[in-house]
Amino acid sequence: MDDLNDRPDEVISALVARLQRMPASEPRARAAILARVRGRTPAPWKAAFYWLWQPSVPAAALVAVAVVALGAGYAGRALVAPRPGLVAVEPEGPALTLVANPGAPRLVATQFVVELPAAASVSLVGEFNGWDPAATPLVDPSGRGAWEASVLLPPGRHLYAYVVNGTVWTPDPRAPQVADPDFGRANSVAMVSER
Amino acid sequence: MAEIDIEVVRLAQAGDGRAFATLVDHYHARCLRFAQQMVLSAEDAEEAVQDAFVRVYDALPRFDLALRFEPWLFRILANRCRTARVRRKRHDAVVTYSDDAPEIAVGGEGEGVADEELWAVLGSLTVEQREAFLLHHVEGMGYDDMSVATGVGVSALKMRVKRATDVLRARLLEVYRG
Amino acid sequence: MLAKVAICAVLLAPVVSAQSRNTVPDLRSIPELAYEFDKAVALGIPMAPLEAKAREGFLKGATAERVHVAVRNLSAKMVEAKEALAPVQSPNEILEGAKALQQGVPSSVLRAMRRTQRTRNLEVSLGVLTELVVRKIPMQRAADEVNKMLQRGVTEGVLIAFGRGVQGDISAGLAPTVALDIRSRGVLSLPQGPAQGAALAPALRIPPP
Repeated sequence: MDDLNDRPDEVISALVARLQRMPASEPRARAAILARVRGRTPAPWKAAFYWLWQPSVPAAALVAVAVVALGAGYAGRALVAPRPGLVAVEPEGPALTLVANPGAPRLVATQFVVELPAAASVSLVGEFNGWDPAATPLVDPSGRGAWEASVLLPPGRHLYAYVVNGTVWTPDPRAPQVADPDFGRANSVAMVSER
Repeated sequence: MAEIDIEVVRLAQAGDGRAFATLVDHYHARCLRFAQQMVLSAEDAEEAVQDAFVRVYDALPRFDLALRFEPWLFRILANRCRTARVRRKRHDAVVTYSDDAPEIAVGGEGEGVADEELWAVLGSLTVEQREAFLLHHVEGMGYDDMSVATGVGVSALKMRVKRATDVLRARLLEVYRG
Repeated sequence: MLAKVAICAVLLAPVVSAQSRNTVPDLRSIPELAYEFDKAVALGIPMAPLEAKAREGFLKGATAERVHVAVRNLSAKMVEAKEALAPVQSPNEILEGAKALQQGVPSSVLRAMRRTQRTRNLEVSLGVLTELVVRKIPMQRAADEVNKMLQRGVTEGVLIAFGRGVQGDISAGLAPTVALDIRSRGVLSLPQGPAQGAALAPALRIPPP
């Protein structure tokens, strides 16, 4: 009986090949699943309990995660325990930075200057401030349209631009630009180093 | 499709929402495929899959990490599919359709059209035969894993797969001969 | 004999874009994005760059659907970068690796860099490499120069200054490969040795393997 089942003929093989095609898995359907389970978060004590029974997880991380889980409204957004290979975790809530590389780079004071005499307001946006126009407004102390701001940046390559009057996307006229294949609006490039 | 890393299951079991999201991502299409071919209704299949994952979430604390995850997952899913079929039967008793099988949606790999004969042929099997056939031939499960997924003994499962294969072959040859 | 089956093709549900242009919505209220963020951390890639990419898109007036595509693409590239750069030294390494991949640098180049620099954080090197490629320097030439410098143990500061120099020269009208030659000759003629490292802060010194 085994043989008959395990050596399907052509007809059955063709059928199986058709049946094995994967259906489309809609993001909405998966998101709906996650939305439903979010309403069923395990009690924080339960989460901590299960963490304590994972023998492979380093003790320090267990304590850290347990503290966060119990103290900070756990709701299904637990921090991922560090493992070899799992390096970067962006913390939510109370900060527990679980990065493999403990040596943080030295930040460089970087001044951005742009001449925009007609502007009523100018903001600096970039990856370093999450493209938030409210984060780094420039100032024009002389009132003559010489806008400036200083930010601390890690050394390296940084993409940025200015937002003028709250809405107008303005790359830096004095800096090299790079095309934006994602959204079609060019960004400026700054190579920041300590010298 | 490879079985998910047990580490992800372990993390999900511990309550990590993102690990659970990865589980869903990994298995959703495959569960949908099985459910569609079991209940022969896109709507019911999606509901069965959603219910199954919620059940997985609830039952995950009791899952023994020493065991394989997939047979356990499919056991839950197969149960949801059986429930969905029962609901559909009740529904059909109230509303009559001029055609046998309801609408099937097949999206997947560039195919926008369902194979009419395919679905109708699957419908000619009993639930037990279809379940065994799909688990063995489409999911590629071994009989031991199938036993976990169905709660049925190995020899009974082998008989069901054989019977299903015979019925399907006969139907398909009818179809091909026109 | 066979029952007729009604067939309908399933169209992917359109992503909701009810918010006005240029305003950044609550990212987690968009299921497709929340899903990508959750998936990212479970996969061990940094989530912050995906959020930043989403904010960038909304700020630039993109539709939610376009933002979703961009976030998904970045996520995929970060997964590829993480694999190529294993063992990864920092989250920013993954991001810079992803950006290099997006500019057409093959993952084999990333792998080779990691093989020769097992413990050095490649974040800055990858950023410089990306910039060279963006300025139309032939990819392999750019990779070769950066690798030569890494093998010599040049500091981050020197690497960035090199990248900035090439960038500036090209803006001033020099042909890309000419700018590359001049600036790399400048770097490689510098004396090697501890004197270089001592000029910069201890935090930037290459950690011992």
